[in-house]
Amino acid sequence: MAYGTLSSLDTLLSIRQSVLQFGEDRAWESIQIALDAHNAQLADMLGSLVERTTDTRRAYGTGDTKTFDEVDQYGQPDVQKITAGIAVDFPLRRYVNNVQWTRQWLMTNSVAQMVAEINAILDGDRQNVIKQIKRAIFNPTNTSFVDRLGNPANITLNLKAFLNADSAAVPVGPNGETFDGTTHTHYLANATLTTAAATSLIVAVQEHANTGIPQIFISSADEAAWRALSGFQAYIDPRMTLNANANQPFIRSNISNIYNRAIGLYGNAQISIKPWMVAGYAFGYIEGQPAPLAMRLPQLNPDLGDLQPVFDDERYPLRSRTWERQMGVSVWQRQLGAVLDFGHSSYTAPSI
Amino acid sequence: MADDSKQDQTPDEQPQPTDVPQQTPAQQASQAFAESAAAAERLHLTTTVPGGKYVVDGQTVNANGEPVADDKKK
Repeated sequence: MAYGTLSSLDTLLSIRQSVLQFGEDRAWESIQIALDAHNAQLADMLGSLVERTTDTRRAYGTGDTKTFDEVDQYGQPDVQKITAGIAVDFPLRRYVNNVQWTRQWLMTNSVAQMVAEINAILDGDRQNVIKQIKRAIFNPTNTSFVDRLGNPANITLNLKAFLNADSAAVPVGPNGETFDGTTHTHYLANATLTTAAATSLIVAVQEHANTGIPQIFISSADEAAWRALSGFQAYIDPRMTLNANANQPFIRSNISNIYNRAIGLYGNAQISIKPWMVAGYAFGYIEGQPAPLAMRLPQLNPDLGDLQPVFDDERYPLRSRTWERQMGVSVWQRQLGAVLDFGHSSYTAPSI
Repeated sequence: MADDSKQDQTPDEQPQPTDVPQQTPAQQASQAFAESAAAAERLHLTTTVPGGKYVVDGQTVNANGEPVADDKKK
């Protein structure tokens, strides 16, 4: 796996000896560096989108307003209290890839073969993390989850989607706006991509925050449709000169990173292509606000939330039975993320 | 909430005929009481009936994933 211009597994890839001939310790040394880099990269990738936490449950939706009533000297208005907070739970799941690297396997396979195996494991882990994030984003319904890995175990948790008109309270807006929990939804749909639909996605997340930059992620398959929107301002190709007599975005387009780059502005939002986005959908959130998603890690040992080999004898980490990661991704800030489905008249969850 | 407040009303707070020219302080207080009760009712939104209408796995469901009638198929 490549990290910038270097690859921490390159040395091992060139070795044609068996793992035992080369030495398990020496092989593990390089593999551990690659593994640490992989885990650090993935944690960094989560960025402003996913918050890592060991919390199982958090209170949500506690913001509310009170009204002041005009009375005379005898008047005494009714007591008011704010709406109770809504519990938002996070799941914890164990994801495992079995290997069964026995002494016999280490004797009969080259170091290069083991590196190929590890590369596949790292890629699989990355795909799995992305898949769980996508499931948390695109699923429009609240679900139950039996927390078998939690402490205490077997508690039924309530996993929430983004605001989905489930009648739960919605925090007040930054200017005192109130939202009807029975109708307010962040799963928007329109049969085609229109300027009104794109604007509604931006407004959906923007109206819940008093600062921050709206970010919209789209699939590269939809790039042409978004660029064709009236009012879209494309980032300029660095091979082109800027027009001094026109208002053009000063930020230059990243021309080589085809599937993961910001392509321009629409309204106040930056439009970015992401390799993991589903075609026909756009995801919006506010950068600069709390992360809309949370990744739960094991409370007693958060390190298990990173990818690692599971071995019986610490002297022989490569003789592992499995590679695993324990984590779960779910929605945390229900009002700070929204999805637009611009291929259906009503929101249709994609297959992930 | 609103029902509870009605039970607590005293005779002075009962609605008065429309030809009463001037309201007593007690009546004014009852108006404030009624307004705040309505406001409190709005704030104490206790209904948990899930709304929303989404299509998941080809089935129209509400916010809790429970099947609901699809308007288009009617």
